[in-house]
Amino acid sequence: MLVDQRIVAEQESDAWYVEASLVDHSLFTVLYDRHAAALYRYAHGRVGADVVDDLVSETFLVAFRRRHRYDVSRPDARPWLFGILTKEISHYRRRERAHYRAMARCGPVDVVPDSAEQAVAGAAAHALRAPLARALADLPARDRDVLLLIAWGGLSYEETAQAIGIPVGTVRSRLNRARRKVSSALGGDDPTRAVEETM
Amino acid sequence: MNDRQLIDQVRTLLEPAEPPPHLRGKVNRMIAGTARPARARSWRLATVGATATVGVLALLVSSVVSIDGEPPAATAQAAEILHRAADTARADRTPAPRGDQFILTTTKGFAPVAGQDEPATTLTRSWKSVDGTHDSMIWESDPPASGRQSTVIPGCRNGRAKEWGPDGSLLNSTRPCTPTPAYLKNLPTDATSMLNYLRRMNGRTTASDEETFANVGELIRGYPPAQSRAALYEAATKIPGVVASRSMTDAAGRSGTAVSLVGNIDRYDLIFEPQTYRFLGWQVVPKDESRGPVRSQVILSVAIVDRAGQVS
Repeated sequence: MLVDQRIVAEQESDAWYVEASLVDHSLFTVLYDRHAAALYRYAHGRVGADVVDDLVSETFLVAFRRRHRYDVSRPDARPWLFGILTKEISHYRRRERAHYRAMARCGPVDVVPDSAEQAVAGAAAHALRAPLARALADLPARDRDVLLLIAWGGLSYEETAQAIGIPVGTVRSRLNRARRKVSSALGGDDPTRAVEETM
Repeated sequence: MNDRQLIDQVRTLLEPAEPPPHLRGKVNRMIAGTARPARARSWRLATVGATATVGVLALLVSSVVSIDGEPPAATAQAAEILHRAADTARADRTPAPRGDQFILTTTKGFAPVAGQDEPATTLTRSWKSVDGTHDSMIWESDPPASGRQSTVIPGCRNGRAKEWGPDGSLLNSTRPCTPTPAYLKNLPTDATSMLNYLRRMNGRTTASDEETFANVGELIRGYPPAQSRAALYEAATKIPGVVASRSMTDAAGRSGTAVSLVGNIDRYDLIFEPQTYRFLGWQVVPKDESRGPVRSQVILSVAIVDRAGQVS
């Protein structure tokens, strides 16, 4: 029996498991086994070691509660899970904002919803890469989400679009904007070239 | 640099990290706990505080209905509380703070502790420069192991502010800046403009109802001028989904009359003193109260003081 189950586990899609877990809760664990590593690494990069456990477990809990709303025409649940995680991270930021907002450079009105400095807390530790980390930290949250879901989450443009519920064209334009901002912050590239490349 | 090169560069910033083995069991237990019938959880609710439970019930029974095609707004009870609070705010004759003073915001946070039922609490005091040119400060009762208890936030004087070191200390070098006053004297003073302001605070796109109500808490943190505070409360009457709780005990144990919005993950409560309708607190608590006040944040007070570091 055990062997049979394992074969099923390897063959069936995430969507199958999401649906099956409506009846048998324990089957939801398969989603954890398949995706926890990627979600964890991503969240670790975004929020650091102190709260990553909490955010990842919360993400699975929220996913579990919303599983009846999962679009079963999507076999891969990864974009869905990353979408939930992205929301979790932004909620976490909001909770921490009292502290962060004061630490960040912006005032309470010209809002960058995410915390700047803390957004890439782990990364900033690398002195060598500090300028890049700082440039990332200075991006608007929505551009940073797109860039990091692709770079750290390993999602495709289409999957990123699914994850945060925006059109693929918007993913491209946010990424493009992020690139221009990062380039200019790093002082490397000629901005006119950056514009040409997008055409 | 093209998109691919940027992505590759950014990828190098990500440190390897793996989920600890115990996490799988934790997630499974949480899921099993959710799936269990409600009976098992009601016991936990009782331990959180009987009044808190009453608050939740009150939230659940007041539903939002659209009447005659009008967009749904806050419930009548919630609107009544907010209008009273607005009246109180409008009558406030406290003079505006001076530029060299500080807004002291005291918050209490609850964080889960592994292997422990009771959450850890942290008290945070932030003194923010009214005009943005003086050095602000953050103090935490229980900073993380690597963190510092007090952090100075450099004020912006003559267009320059000191730079941060990676460890949060101030360097001698400076960067260009524009002062960011903590006291926002030019906030809208009527409900409609205030609502528009709240909807646009997050950037160019219009904020969801949840974000809009969350932004009320953001402004509250900054000691808005009396007329704007009144407008803020009145704007909240126009946010769909805002409901009333006649009696609510916040995570810090204080009771008041509250208006709330239940969001996707958290619930946001704006709490007033029951007799005077003066601002008592603001809190963000997880929607699922069965887990106690874990990861709640409560604003205990917002006040004006003369010096950073001064408690009262």
